[in-house]
Amino acid sequence: MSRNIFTSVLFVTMLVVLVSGNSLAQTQANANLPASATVLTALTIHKNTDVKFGNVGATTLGIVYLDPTGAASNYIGTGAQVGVITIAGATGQDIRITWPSYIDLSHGLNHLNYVLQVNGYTANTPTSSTPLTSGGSTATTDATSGNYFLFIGGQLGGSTTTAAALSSQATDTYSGSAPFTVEYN
Amino acid sequence: MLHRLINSALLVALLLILIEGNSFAQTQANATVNASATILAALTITKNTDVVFGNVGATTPGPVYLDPKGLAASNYIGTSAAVGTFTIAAASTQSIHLGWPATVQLTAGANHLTYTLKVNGFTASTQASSTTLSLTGGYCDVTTSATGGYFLWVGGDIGTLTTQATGAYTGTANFTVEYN
Repeated sequence: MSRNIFTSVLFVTMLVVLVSGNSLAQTQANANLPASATVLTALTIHKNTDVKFGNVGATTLGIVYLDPTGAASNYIGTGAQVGVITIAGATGQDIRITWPSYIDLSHGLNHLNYVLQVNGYTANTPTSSTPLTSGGSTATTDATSGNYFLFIGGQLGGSTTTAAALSSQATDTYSGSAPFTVEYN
Repeated sequence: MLHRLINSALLVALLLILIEGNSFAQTQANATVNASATILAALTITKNTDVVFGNVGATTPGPVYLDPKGLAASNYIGTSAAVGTFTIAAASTQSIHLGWPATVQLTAGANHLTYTLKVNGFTASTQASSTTLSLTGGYCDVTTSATGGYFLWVGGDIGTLTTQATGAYTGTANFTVEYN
């Protein structure tokens, strides 16, 4: 084992010597290759609350809608709640957030389409939040705290592109998961 | 000399590994949000009859009152008066959340009357068994029957009238129901 390591090191060393020898053969032609990396505060994303539509009628007069700001929801149960995610990173830093534009809620053979609507804001005040571009968006963390908050609602029913009111939806408890990713720009 | 080269190569390799590991740890973070919805039987509310106070005198000795439990205890209303009724259909023995306005303005041109609603409810369509429902924060929670039904009877009062301007006064009260 130590012999192998020694052989490998020797090989690497020889390569370095050969490359070095090569450049010397050109009588000192030099070029610099700048390399840089900006290390920022560790970026974290934490789910605070899940998305809940609560108890919903199998047939609704209109589209079942959970408003991320909490103001204009329709046909949801009183136990409904907006999903909340906290992102913490460097202050005033551009970040890119991605998520699926829709997911399938299911139980057994029953399925229900859920089109996500995600709002964002630099403080944990959903009423001040504004919609982010569906499926992925850039944002800037708070200049003081480095935080950014996501508020998640959306529509139930219809297709992945066209929402519709529920019509004789099978009674059941539907669930699913949506992955969220954040990275520095 | 060879020993130094080996040490240097190892150090470079270690540094590369450290830098690479560090940058991965900080460039992307992930979280999963769970979403859920419970679908119950369709929830409907149907108005069966409107609230009618009928013909009422412009001045009355006391409050004009339409008893939601029946006309027996009503006062100063017209003979054509009618209690408003709703039928709610939902999942069986399910808690539901009712809402209605405490008051509604009835208008006839530029003239107004304030109508204060009184709402009774019961799990069967027997008005005499209904009981008063009270609003808390604009809402009232009740539980549907074993067959998913719930019934509302709507009366109330328009106060004691004193030379009220004559006219046909109308207004609309919006009732909402949702699952708890």
